[in-house]
Amino acid sequence: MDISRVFNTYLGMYITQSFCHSAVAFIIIERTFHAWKITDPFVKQRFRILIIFIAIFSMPLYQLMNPHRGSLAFRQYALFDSSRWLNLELIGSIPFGFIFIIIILITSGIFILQELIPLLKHAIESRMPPSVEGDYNSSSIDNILEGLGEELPDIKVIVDEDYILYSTTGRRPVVYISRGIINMLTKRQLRSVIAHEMAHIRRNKLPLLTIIYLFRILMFFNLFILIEFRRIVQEEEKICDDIAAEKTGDPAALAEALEKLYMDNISITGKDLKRLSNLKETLEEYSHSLQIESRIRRLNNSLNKKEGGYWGMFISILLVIMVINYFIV
Amino acid sequence: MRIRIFFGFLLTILMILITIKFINYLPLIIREDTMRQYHDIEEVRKRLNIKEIHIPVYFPQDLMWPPSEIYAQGRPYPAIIMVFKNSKKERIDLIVSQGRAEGFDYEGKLKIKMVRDRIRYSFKGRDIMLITGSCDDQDICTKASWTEGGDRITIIARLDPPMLIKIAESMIR
Repeated sequence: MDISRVFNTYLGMYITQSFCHSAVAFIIIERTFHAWKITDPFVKQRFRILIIFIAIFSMPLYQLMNPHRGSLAFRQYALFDSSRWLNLELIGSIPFGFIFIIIILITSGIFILQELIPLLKHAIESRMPPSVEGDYNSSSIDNILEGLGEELPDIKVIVDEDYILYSTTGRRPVVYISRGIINMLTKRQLRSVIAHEMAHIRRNKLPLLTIIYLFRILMFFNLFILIEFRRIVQEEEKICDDIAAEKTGDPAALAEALEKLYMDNISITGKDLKRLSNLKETLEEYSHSLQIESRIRRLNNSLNKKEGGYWGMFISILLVIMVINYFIV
Repeated sequence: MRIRIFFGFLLTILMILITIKFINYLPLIIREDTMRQYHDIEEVRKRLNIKEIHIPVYFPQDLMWPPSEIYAQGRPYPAIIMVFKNSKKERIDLIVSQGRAEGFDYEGKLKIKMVRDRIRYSFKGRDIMLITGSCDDQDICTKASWTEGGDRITIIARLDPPMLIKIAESMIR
């Protein structure tokens, strides 16, 4: 099969350019965060979402603006012509395009195994409600939700000593919390984790997040979107931390709860890292623990520092990226 | 402080641009036969060792010789593209391309937007596909393509079919 012909089709050009355009956006946006020391998760999430939009729409938009953009004449004077690399034979007669296809396949595989299958599993499991004790409001601790808002979700207690905490939206939102968590946390810690889940419920009602996830599925082959989507999810956790802290007025309680629920169970030793069979799990745990640590640090230090007035910068960065990407084919 | 950050950021963008340009240039250093622009046909012959370059013998008066742009590559398959401009109107009027790949069809700045007719005819044992239609600016455009000793040849011009057929037939020996 002639690989160069695959990349000359519209789909091939779309995949290649989407990859390159998101790479450029990724680098510029990461540098923006670094240069302006942007830490507000809300602002960071907006910039990261921009990368997904650029990956999806930039190439068709440019083709509409200039149908000859894929022509050789344009490519000769472009800032970056992907076909030069894709046709380049590096090892023997294997073109770089072949390596690019492998990268796409690995990225798609990771998406299917780590995102799509767990999502489908979760969708199936959530149809089968867990064994619950009844409404939390009417059980052991009263008035825990007081002051957390007018639209309160149902609280269902799962009969399980493990730490389980999640929420479902829909007509009647529900926060599921396990008996293990209730036994472990104090009242104010419990109030803060429920406030965090309520923030998720409130934000999941926004159509933007659903659209982002649909776009993320479309970009299943894109390595940079794989990375960015995970960071968007991490930022989402931090945004919900901020909302919960604002509602309860007690960020320390959420920090303590996170520490109790996640950090006490994770202890990684050098020995674990040396054992190859444990490496994947250990690294995953390590990365998860780093995220939790960073959330705890935020809650203990610099919470609620809202960074306003970023729209000017947002539009300027978008323009810079769009102009550069126009010349990347 | 803000101005310092701004200029620092501008410098970063400049560095990114230079890096991208360098990455784009790397394949040309690594392999000489990567698609690039050449000054004349002789240079293509010498550098890429493409022995047979098909050039029209019949050439309408309005077209400028030599080609205003020549692009060629040795890999993944040998290919050469010659762009000819109109001497009076300073626009591209003819593109001749040849590539040793099945279905090689270069679509550059001359592209038939609206196809009016497709005719297949035979000349000196070659099966020639002739397409007529209009280009971007509604000018009549004609395209002919056939296979010549393993090379797929395509000529597209802002000319009527009889004129293009003359050019095509002048390329076949």
